[in-house]
Amino acid sequence: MLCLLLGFSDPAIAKSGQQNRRVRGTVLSITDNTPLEGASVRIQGRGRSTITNSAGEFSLNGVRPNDILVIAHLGYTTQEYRLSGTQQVRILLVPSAEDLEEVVVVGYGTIAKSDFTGSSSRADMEGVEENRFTSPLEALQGRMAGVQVITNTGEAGGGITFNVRGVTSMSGGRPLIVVDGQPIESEYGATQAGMDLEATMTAIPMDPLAGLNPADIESIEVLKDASSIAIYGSRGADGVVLITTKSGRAGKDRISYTSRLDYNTMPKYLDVLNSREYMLRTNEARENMGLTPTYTEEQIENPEVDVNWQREVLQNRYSHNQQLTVSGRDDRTRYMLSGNFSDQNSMIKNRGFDRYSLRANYQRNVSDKFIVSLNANMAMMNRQFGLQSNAGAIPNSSVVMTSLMWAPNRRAYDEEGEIDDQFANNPLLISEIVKDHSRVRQTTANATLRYNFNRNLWYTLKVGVNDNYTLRNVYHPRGTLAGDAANGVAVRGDNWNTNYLVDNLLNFNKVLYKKHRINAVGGFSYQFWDYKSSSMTARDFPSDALGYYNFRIANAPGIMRTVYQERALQSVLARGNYAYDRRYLLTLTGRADGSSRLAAGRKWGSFYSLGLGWNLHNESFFKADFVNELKLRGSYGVTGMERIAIGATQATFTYNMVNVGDVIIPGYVQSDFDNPYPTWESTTQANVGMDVELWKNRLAFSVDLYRKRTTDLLHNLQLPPSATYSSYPVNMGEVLNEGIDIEGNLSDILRGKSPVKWNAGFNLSVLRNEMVHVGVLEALYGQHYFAGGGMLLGQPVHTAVPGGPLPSFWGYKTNGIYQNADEIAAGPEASTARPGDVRWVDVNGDGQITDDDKTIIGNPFPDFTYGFNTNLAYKRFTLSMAFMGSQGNQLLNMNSWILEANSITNAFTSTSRAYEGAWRGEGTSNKYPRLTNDSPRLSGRFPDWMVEDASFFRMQSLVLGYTFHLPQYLGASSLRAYVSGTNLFTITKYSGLDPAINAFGHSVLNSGVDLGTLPQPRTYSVGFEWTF
Amino acid sequence: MDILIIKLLIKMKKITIFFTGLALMWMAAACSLDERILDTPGPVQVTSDQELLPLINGLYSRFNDANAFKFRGWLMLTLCADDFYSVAANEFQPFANRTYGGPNVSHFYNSLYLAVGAANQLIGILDKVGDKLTPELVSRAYGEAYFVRAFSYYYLVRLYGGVPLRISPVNADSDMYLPRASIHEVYEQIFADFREASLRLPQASELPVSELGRATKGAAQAIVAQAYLTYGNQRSLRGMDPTQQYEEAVLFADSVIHSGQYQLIPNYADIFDINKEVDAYKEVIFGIRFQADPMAILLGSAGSEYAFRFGNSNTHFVSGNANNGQGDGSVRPMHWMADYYLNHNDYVHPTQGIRDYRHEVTFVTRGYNSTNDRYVVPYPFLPTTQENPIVFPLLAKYQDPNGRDHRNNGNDFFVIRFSEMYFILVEALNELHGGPTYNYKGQQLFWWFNRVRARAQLADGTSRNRPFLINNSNSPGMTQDEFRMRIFHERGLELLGEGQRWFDLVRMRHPSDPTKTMYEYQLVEELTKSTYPKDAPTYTRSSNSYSNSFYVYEPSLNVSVPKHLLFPIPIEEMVRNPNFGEQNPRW
Repeated sequence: MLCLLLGFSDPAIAKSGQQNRRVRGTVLSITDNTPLEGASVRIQGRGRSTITNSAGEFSLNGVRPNDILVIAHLGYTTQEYRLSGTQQVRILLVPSAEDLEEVVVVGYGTIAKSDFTGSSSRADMEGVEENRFTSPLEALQGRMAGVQVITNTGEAGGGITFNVRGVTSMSGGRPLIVVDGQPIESEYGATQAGMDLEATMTAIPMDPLAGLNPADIESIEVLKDASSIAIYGSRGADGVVLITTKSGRAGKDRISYTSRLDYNTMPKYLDVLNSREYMLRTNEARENMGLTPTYTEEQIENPEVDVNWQREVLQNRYSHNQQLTVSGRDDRTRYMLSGNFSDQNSMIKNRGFDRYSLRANYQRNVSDKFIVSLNANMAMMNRQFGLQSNAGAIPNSSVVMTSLMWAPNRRAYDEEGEIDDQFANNPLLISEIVKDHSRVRQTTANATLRYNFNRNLWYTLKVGVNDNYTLRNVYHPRGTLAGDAANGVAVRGDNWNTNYLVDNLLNFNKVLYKKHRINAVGGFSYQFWDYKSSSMTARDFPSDALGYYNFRIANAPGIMRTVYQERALQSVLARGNYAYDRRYLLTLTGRADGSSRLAAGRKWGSFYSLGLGWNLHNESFFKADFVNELKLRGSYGVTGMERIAIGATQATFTYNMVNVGDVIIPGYVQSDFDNPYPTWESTTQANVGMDVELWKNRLAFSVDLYRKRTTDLLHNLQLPPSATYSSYPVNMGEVLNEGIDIEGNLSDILRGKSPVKWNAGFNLSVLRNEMVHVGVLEALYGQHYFAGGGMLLGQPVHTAVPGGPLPSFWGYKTNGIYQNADEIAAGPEASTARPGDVRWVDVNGDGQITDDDKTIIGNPFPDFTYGFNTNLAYKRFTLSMAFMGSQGNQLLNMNSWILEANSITNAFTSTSRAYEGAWRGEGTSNKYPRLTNDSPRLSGRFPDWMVEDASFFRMQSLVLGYTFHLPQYLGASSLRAYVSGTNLFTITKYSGLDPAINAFGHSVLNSGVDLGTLPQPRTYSVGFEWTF
Repeated sequence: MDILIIKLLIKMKKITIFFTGLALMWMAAACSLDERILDTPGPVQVTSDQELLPLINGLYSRFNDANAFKFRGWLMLTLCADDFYSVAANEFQPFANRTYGGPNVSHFYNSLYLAVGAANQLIGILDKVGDKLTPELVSRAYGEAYFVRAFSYYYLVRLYGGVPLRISPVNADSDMYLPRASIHEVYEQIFADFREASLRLPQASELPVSELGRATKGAAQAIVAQAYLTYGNQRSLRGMDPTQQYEEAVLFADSVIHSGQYQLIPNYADIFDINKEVDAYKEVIFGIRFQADPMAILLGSAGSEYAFRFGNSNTHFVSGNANNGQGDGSVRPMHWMADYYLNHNDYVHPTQGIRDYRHEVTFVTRGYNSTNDRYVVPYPFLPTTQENPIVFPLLAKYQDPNGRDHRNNGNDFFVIRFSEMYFILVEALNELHGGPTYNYKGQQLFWWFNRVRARAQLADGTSRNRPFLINNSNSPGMTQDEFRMRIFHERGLELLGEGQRWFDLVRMRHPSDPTKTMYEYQLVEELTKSTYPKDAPTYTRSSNSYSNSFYVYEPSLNVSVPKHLLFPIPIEEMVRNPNFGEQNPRW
């Protein structure tokens, strides 16, 4: 935040209102008040100009009131200054981004980049609104080293997996998000409404940051190492993201209107069977099992119905985004007002996401000493949710899953052209008649009072509120599975999360005796959260006409469930940064946090870090002129995490309904026992890095090596059923993340004289994640999939074992298909297997296939990820491109469990490759088994071949723009028009719809699954920006 | 550096005081870090009698869950024996075809342990706060906790073998990873708990209708009688002396029989009449209560789904199914079992024909299809020309036309009925004293056995002479082994579809081999014979007859012994409990 940027004007010393007077002034650097020599000063639009002398002074004749001075100096941001009768001016220039004195946004302040000992990445968000990115996090994909961003699904506003330097924690690993100094709610629960819902009603979480309009954001700084994070103590272990929103720029007030039209297309459809193939398959399976065929030859050869459900339900859609911004700045006030409307239609019919947001950023220098500011964002979002992944139950209510798996010989429409409601969960019915609407209201506002005791010391009081309200309404009418059973069922759930923040900070910034530069901050912080939610399910409606609008008419109006919880965090924090002669750097940081959620006596934790740096290029012995910067730095420190359930340390009950006498009443059952032990999870991180800038900044890069050790992992440990409790919070286990982050930029590659300006950026991350130990256990396991029904799997497919990553995929190894009786006789399933069955590997060699043969069959971690982007400007043309990729990551293709197991139970279809590749006699196949009607399918064993290589290379964005200069009389100063593409192509071997998704991204231990997950759309956009 | 700041602060005088004051004010607003839980009850809140009641109700609340007796546990009890089958897919097929594994059988295990946990926790709370509450209430609460714990372990030990024995409330210092106990240890705990329970629980006659479903003294005694008999069987199969256990079984069964609390309801049909369910509890000693649930649906409801599962798609108005109240026919009695009522090889008797009129109550004799306004007649009954046949039998014991939805009906699950007390008494005495002519309290075992048959003769409310009463004159020289077989079959006829058959198969002794079980006899030897055809009978309208009888559903014979004598230990227990020990044999 360049909040120091001020142009102080001295009192007028000459008469005003006269024409053609002389103006005199001084140009100074804002960082240390040194005079700037050689700055050019010209009068805008009049061609008169001059240059400052060695004392930074200038003078110009013939100025008029209201003339605008334009002051430029190499390495500083060009500034405009409106004269208002003043004859003597003093102008402070701010170092430009390319300058050595660039500042880095850090926790509770800024620091000169040359003095920074930590490791962070910065993304300039200029122009992100020209691509289809709903959430600011999406725009970070592939942009930073060590920062993994995966859009969990292709749903606009959907959840996003966001990891900084690996996965440290079992409980989610969401980095702390700080917007304009205010930590905001970024947990998935923030926008989830409705409790204890049936599986058909549970919605996967949306992105809690979707309320932030990317176009309002100036830059995003991701803090990665202990030196930069420790100031956030207990909240920093998973990384800290500092978001700085835009504010007015100097010069005249600016109004801009931006409009973008998107065409979102399905990047791919799965190749599934047509009706004829489907019927042949059914008959073949039945024949294999000695059963009579279901379909006659006549039916097969002349199918009455042949539906491609994917194309019925998943469609290309138009979306658009509108934005109006007014901003400005003068010597005492800066402001920005922006309004945004983003209407994103999902590729699922009738589903989508839209956002209305309003931001007001305002700052006023009441006096030289007293500054007030307000940053407020209000967002309203509508989410029409189309159920996707659903691990627990029969996946029939998932509109994506049903469209993938539904048999092609069931008709979509009846004779009258109406959607056929004769079978429940016709995917079209689900998308047409199920209503699932969430409205989310988010307010983030903070007011800051700053008092400058002098230029070096100031006090800041920040008071903020972050209020998130979600109201979800669902109605399943008759014609759906849930609706038929209940004669219509409606759910109304809300969730109101509010948190309040008070920060008291004292900052000190001074150069002492020329060589000792001190930048220090200390303070207290208090944050309080409350969570209120309620949920009600009503059933048995006389008619579907009123949907969820009237619960009173339901014959079974339901019981209201409520949650009312609160928690608090108190903190004391301090950081001191000391630079000696711009050569030797030291940063000491400490924070103590007290959390209400932890056990009594263990509530307070202390966190600290040490950072050291050496600016080699400032040493006298350093002679290489082409090196502008060479900094070596290192840091070490401890941060924490306290993310456990409220009340987890106390004995509590939950309830379960019971029949006693002739009533159904809640019986209290145990849910938690007294647990005096939970305390902080702590992450110790060491980082060594190097920053290099060469050839006047033409090439800049940094390399970081880190090692993060997280101990006392705080998580809800799953207990064996015989413990009589399902889980309890423990501090157990240790995770290691180590890796290399490389980031670089090439600026002005073709040198200043070329008409073509060309910049490029690149990054590479290598990460190794290891679960070092898991406490008393041998391993941890993920959730169970398909608890019932014909697809029953009923077991976890994720594990975390010592020495392996967190998590690994867990299942059975296979070795092709049994081709003949001899092979079976020699194998471990001699009495049960038949030719054409999967040949499971007897891993433990005990002569039989049992649960003990389950083993690790892959993991979701890439070997490395990378990204690069490039910007070209030629005259008024601009062209920018961004690419990203991931190598060596795997996805567990859970769709295969339904579509490729070659079992016809439940009458679901199959992929063509599984059907065509089915075993049909010796030597015909060594991967896909023979067709059967087996239940459980594949003997209830999850095979290794359903884990697939999901390495990919993606062209993430392309923008081609042209700026028109408009004649004055149009009133507009410029018009920029562009065409852009988002997710234009993906090169991958992965057989599913999208290799870069993560169905259960909100749960670390269940990472890397594709299960009825909507792919990222391929988007083509056109847009313009009209600036006045 | 800090000193520097403080010095600067001191210089700042008034404005400093103002801001410091403001800062302190905000700090003061920062209240304590004590955790307040506002919306969740905790044990600390149990301070009065009234607050104890939800905890007592909680003891029973796991049993009517979909994971337990409502659906998944019930499937284990029902489909894994020799008397029911299923051609439905999904969760039915693995049990009907004996292809189930750890994932299929985990739900019931979890539910039973959750009930154990509720019982342990209530005992812990009573130990702490019991002296502040009414002593009678506390005593009864202890009794119910002991009962529920014993009841849960009794199902666990029979289904899964020796399991970890957790008998104290869990806290953060508990050993979460207990090894499996032997079945002997588990049974000893069961006996001790039931005995403690029986000392504290009220008699059935003291239980108001509003508390129906809660444990009574009789329930504890009846189930412990069966448990002693079962454990005696298990000892006997292992070559250990079962005498003491059989004696205890006799003692408790006799105690219930002579308690005056229960009776055999005169009309066998009334036991299963949903409209007379409360009255049925004169005979039902303990049951899992279900009611059509207006607040929840399907799997999550507090209603049962037996009516839907045993009913059929063309018999209407048997369940709460929105679609004409029809069933789905996913669980069907085996044909051979239905035929057995008609033609069983009871004893050599000159007359042919119906052997047991209980079949008229046990099976659907005639159903109505409202779509085509026709009556349907399931096997083995024969339709008239106006009626359509259903080629398989349908169980008639569970029907509730007033259910809320198909998986949400009012039929209870009867855990133990008074008629079984006679069977337990007779079986234990037969094992102890070697035959049906043994004289107990002035009557031969035949006489005690015939108590149930005499009532069966009233199956339609009027007395008829089938099933025959057996006695020394029509069954002379009946041996101990023969009488055991007779008891086994009689249990099957009386209790069909009531969740006992699988337990009977795996506990009772093979008629000729003392080391084998009835399971091996029935499923490996008897039903595999050619007298039990493996092709389903077909109906011929012209002759109004079925092509064959005594059909056995072949996939149910896919058995492996000893593997199928116990269910596998569920995967959650095996992977999360490093100390558990060995999996069950062959799993």
